[in-house]
Amino acid sequence: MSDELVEKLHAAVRPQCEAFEAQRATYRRQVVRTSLALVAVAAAGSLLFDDLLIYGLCALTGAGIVIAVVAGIRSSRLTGYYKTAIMPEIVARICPGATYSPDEGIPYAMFAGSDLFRTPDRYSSEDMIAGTIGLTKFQFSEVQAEEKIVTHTKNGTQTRWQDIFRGFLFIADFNKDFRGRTTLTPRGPLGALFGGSDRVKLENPEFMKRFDIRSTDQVEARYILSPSLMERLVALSDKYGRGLRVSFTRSLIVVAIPSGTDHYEASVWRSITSHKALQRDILSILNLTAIVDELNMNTRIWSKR
Amino acid sequence: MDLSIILILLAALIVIVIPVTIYNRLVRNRNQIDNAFGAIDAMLKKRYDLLPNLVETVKRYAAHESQTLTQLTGLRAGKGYQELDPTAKAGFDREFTAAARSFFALAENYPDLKASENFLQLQRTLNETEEQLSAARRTYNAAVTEYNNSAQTFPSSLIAGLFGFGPRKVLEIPQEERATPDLKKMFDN
Repeated sequence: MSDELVEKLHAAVRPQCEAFEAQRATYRRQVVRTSLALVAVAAAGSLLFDDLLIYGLCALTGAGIVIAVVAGIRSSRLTGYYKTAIMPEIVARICPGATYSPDEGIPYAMFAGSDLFRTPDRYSSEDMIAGTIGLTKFQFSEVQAEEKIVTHTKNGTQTRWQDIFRGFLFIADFNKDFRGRTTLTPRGPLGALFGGSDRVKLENPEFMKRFDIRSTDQVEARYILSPSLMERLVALSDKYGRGLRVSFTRSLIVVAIPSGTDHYEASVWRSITSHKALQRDILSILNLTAIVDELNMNTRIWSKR
Repeated sequence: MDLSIILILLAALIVIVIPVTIYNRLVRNRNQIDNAFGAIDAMLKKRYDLLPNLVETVKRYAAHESQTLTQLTGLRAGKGYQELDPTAKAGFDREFTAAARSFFALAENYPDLKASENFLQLQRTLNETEEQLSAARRTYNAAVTEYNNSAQTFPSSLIAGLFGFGPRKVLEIPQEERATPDLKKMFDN
């Protein structure tokens, strides 16, 4: 089903994609020409100097930097086009009424409120898609949360940034009302060896194999995690891998899906059609919006409407 | 440190600290069961308090359906939930599902009833209560399983035997058609 749908969506944005590819070809030509000219000047210039090797290397490095900057500027223009002309069209077709805001993201308070991760030193979020499927309001965006690692060695202090989480954060209105907080995190190799009063033991062994469940309210955790929802979450975890984390807080469900790639970006060097970049972005939106149905969030037979 | 002191400390650990820890854990687990049972009781009360609404709704939309009406009023028998004894509570738990089912079956024949805001509200509240009751039962069972595991596995079984921590029974989670669990025993405990 999804192959057919991806093909259909592809066809819907074909004119924009063709315009994109034409622009990309022009930019790429410009970058290549600039590069060749710079390299030629650098090579010719270096012949005038005695110390050919050192001058040549410096000139080539300089040329390389200029080329990278020019290509970067051109790529960001292409990304701008991709985000304003192609992405909104795809989002609107997948989920009518939904909006795509490239510069907006999930607020930090929501990330922190999910209680799924350690406190980061740096947080950023962009490419927000928000809308309603059936009765369920949802929003998701790319999130990067990092911590600062400072190491002291003989050669001085080194600082690097390490990901706490990089991927999509999907937030939706859940179909039941609840007051406490219940979190599902991947079960570690030691399992539930170190218990705690907030740990919840449930009846579904497949579910228990995948998740470490903690809750501020034992009864509420079971009210949320009904036998059928546990089955659905097992299936979702199989689809996305073991890194999946889920939090239920303030009547919302927060699903964190790790992903290493930066989505919804364009480059002068990469065709959006032949390199499957567009297909990957379409699939990411299809899969994320499908969570609403996969977790049966539109059922409103409880007191929450 | 003197070897004899180490041995004395070790003996103290075996004779006092370990048994006390095990005993405390058993007591904590038993309290958890009582706590979880309290949650079931609270949910049953919530369900019980829905009865007047059910009766009123039937009276308003299907007054001549005397059988359902009698069934529903019979369940409440003019008493508050706290006045019920364990046998009556268990009986209510058993009979409520059947009464609720006949109430919903009734709605099929009365389109006005089925479409009324009152009915829809009741239906949602009932679904909610049933879901929470089921969660409370599952919590109770998890607490019982944890307690039984402590009371029946070595070495805590020794302490359990010594202080009379007998095994408890888990509730059977009722399927729609199946009879309800034997709550009376639980209330009697």
